[in-house]
Amino acid sequence: MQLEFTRVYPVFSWSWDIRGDDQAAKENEGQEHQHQHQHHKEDQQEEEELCGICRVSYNGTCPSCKFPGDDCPLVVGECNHNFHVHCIQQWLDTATAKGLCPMCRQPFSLKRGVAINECQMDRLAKLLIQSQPSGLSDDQDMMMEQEFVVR
Amino acid sequence: MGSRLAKEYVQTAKTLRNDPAFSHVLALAPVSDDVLNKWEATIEGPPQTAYYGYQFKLQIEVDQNYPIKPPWICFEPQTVPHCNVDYDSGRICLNLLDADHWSPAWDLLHSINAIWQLLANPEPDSPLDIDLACLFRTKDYCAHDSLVRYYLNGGSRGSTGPIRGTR
Repeated sequence: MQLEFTRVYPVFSWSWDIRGDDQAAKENEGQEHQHQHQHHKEDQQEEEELCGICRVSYNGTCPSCKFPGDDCPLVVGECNHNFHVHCIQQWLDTATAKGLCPMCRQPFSLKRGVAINECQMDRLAKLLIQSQPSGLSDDQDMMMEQEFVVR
Repeated sequence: MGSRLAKEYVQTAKTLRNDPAFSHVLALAPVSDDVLNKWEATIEGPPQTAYYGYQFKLQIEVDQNYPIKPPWICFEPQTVPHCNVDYDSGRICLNLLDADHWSPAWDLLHSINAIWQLLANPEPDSPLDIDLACLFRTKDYCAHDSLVRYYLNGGSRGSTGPIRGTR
């Protein structure tokens, strides 16, 4: 049989390259939860993972952007909480945020070795250093800065 | 902000319909479908408190910067005798509603739920009503609850039901 293509309509889909919370949990707890993990995954297909600040899907945009993707990137926190960079930036920019993650109240920093974080490092690092609570001692402040320089 | 509130509206309606854990939240919705930044809530008094059997209305106003900024939530004036509520204005002292303690991870339903929990668990150390706070702090729960009921019944000593001595 011979086929002749007249037209091709390529369709692509994309999503951010992140490790979901459940994936991280799986790594910590070993393989025995693999089965459970699969169930979890099925549940999650109904309930998409959402940015904790604007409640829009990770693969969507923050409220002020129109086009998902590089125009409205996602960042991954050291604490494994993910946000649209515009959302977390707006939060960290307020004095009351005190540099903390909205979800777990740990000092927010970008996870190392995650490709999508790389180009946001500088931008957020500046914000985070400004917003460190004044209660931190000088030593801790130094450590924070060094950490970011190393990155 | 608008899109997040619209999502909360849908999600809240679903939760209130299906989740018995929030059965004490009798209503929580925007005042009208056109204006999403003004909401109204009705909660039931928590069981085993002087507030049980009564319903309380709350007014909610959402800032343009919500959820970066906390919502403004207030009881109706002169309806809630509670040591963390200003009786005359209905203003609530609850640290999560304070800009310093608010997190954008919270939403309106969980804020209302926290206020419901505050009804059952007064914090006499940051009082807006000194008299109730003093009674609570001295562990005179009988007097505290009687005074609450006195206010709830419109200031008249109506039928108060049995008064518990301990909590």
